[in-house]
Amino acid sequence: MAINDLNAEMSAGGEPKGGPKFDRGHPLSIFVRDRNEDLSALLLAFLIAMSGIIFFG
Amino acid sequence: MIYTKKSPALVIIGIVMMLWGWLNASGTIDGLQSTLQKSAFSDHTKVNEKFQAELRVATEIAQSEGKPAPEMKKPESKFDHAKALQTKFGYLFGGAFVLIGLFILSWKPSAGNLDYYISTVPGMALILLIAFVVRWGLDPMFGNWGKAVKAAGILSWDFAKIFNLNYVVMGILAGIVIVNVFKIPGWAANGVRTARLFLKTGVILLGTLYSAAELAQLGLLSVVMIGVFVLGSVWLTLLMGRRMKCPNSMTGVLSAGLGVCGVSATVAASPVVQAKSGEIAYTIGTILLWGVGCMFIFPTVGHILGMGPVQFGAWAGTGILNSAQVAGAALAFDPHGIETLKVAEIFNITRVLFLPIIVLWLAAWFVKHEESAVKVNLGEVLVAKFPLFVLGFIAMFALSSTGAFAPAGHYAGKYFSSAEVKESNLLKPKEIRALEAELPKMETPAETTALQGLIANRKIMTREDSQALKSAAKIKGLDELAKGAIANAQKAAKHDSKVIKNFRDWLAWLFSFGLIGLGMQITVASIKQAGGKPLIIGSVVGTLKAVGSLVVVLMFVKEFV
Amino acid sequence: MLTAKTILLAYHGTEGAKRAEALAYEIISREGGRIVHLLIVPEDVWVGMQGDDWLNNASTRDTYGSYVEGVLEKDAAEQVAVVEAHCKQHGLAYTPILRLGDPADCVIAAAREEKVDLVVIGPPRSKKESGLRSRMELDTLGRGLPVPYVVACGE
Repeated sequence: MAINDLNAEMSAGGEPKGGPKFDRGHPLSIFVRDRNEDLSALLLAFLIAMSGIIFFG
Repeated sequence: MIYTKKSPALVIIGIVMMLWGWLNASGTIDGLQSTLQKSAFSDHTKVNEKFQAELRVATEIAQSEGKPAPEMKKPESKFDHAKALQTKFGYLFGGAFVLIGLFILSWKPSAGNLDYYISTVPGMALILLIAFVVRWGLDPMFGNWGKAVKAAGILSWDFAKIFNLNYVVMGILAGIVIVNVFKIPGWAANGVRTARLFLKTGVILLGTLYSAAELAQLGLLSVVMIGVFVLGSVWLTLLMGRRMKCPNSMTGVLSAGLGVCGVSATVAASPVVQAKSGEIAYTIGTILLWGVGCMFIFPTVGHILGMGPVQFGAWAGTGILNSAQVAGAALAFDPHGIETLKVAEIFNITRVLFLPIIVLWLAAWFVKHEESAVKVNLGEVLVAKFPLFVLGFIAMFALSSTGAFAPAGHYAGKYFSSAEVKESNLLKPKEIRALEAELPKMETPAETTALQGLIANRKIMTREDSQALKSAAKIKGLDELAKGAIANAQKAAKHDSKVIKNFRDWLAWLFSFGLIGLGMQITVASIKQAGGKPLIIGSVVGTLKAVGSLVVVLMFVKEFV
Repeated sequence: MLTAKTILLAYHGTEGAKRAEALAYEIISREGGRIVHLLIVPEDVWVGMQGDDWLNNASTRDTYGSYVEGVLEKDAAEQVAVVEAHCKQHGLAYTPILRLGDPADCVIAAAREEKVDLVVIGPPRSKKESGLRSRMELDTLGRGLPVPYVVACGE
């Protein structure tokens, strides 16, 4: 039995008998999915830059 | 899965921030603030005294003329400004956190984007609270203590200065203490991960502060130094690993970590060299041990050797194993200017650009030595590992040099403008006469024209004139008054871009936020995994890199910014 | 001699754990005995492996995450295969459990859930032996376990 069941348990994730799961964050999140962290950083930096121009330029 | 954790923590943090804002606004804690911000407070006293005297005179004049006392606005001192800022931040963030906190308590979250974004707020609030405490409280407090201990003759040196007990170092320490002593509370875990995001944002925004010439010089220097030391240490680790009969996967992952950019490289290379879990843990432990140690040792050594920003930035950028600690060390060395950070981050960026190359090298090496290895695709590695935020940095630099934030041709936000010279800053007749007397001493036609222009207009008209006058001011035997006049005119024509000045402030906040968050990922348990052969190899390579780059920097790198 | 029907065995392939395994087979009752095999990934080690790789983009991090999960799963599967085979030889029932957390807490929780009669663990690793630095807090174990525990000391 064992291995298959064990794998099933592990892939359930977060269940009491599950093994460690790498925390990737919410699957839809733009923060940590794929390249989106870099993209969000880009977006944030440009927002800051724009607000700098609007408020202090 | 639901990420938002019901906890009153966010409301409490918000209330504490708002309370701090109110205490500042009402003047209740002026006593405390005046001891924390000694120099700003003495400026405040002076401004006040001057204002009172002016008001008295104006009132007396008005009375003698039979007019009502004039209304005068009290100028804002540095102290007022600091308090107003703390009030504003306290109300703004505190208010937002209280609202979101109340929302979390009353809301029944369902899985989705909103749940995930809301779940990040409490952790961000925690880091921001720490940043406030460190920046507004601990930093000035230690500064005062350092001076007091020195003044009392207990120590002959300022311990706060020598050990760099400034807001950056203490922020990182606060992060380390919290994660190891209290553990990161569940409600904060998700927000702490945003530290990465804000650090990257900081690096992108940093792109606004370079001049093209500077970027070219620093880029070349960093490619040469990183090239030599990265390739050197990867090669040395591979050699030592094989000599000491470490498994190939262990040697591979260790060489990436020790060679390129620490933990980031370890993470990128582990799958390629099929590292085992224990080997990854050993490598990360060794790197963190060295990284954290270097972060404290490097700035102190830098100060003792009297290094400048370029030298120190280059040394830290090459010699410190982990890239997160490079930023930390640069800010620890020079917390109030961004100069050292600017240099060090260029080195960090160069490192991350080297990462795909090293990953490919290790992949090839692993295939050669290990039968079970899977071949990797060159294109795939390059695309997958390419750091997008570096493109953002370059884009920001391009925007900045075309004059989006400050007139084109500015350097780190300072730019030349004749049109913006204030009436009150035009040269005085006495200065003009002194300059006229020096006209015959000019050595080149350009200098003569520039000086004539200055005399005629009472200000410097063009950037070329400004350059010519710079060299003219160095002519020997020039009258002191004339020299002073040129300096005054130069200063009057130099303007500071408000936008860029604000970017600098925000950069400091972004980096301190990010570094506190990264501090929260340095656990004693992970450092304890360092040991055995990896630690020996790490120590040898780490020491060689730190000392070797120091020697190279001291011998070949001159301050040029 | 001590005997038990259901034994919880904390086993991860180290020398000490092998002694614990051998001891468990000696103690366990011959009729309908069951071995509950507990594999623990110490939480602090796991967290430490997810270091501050802020320079990487998230896809590199994801690849790494899947890789580490895979490695741990493979590790666990290897250990499970070993103990399961031995149990078969001894004619014992077998239940594997994989947990993430503090080692002592994991043992206590698993012992309660699986209603075991006895817990068998290996001795602390000698300093010369290599391996992850994570220790079983015997104090916590002693206070929290509902059943006796045996440490397989010896050379």
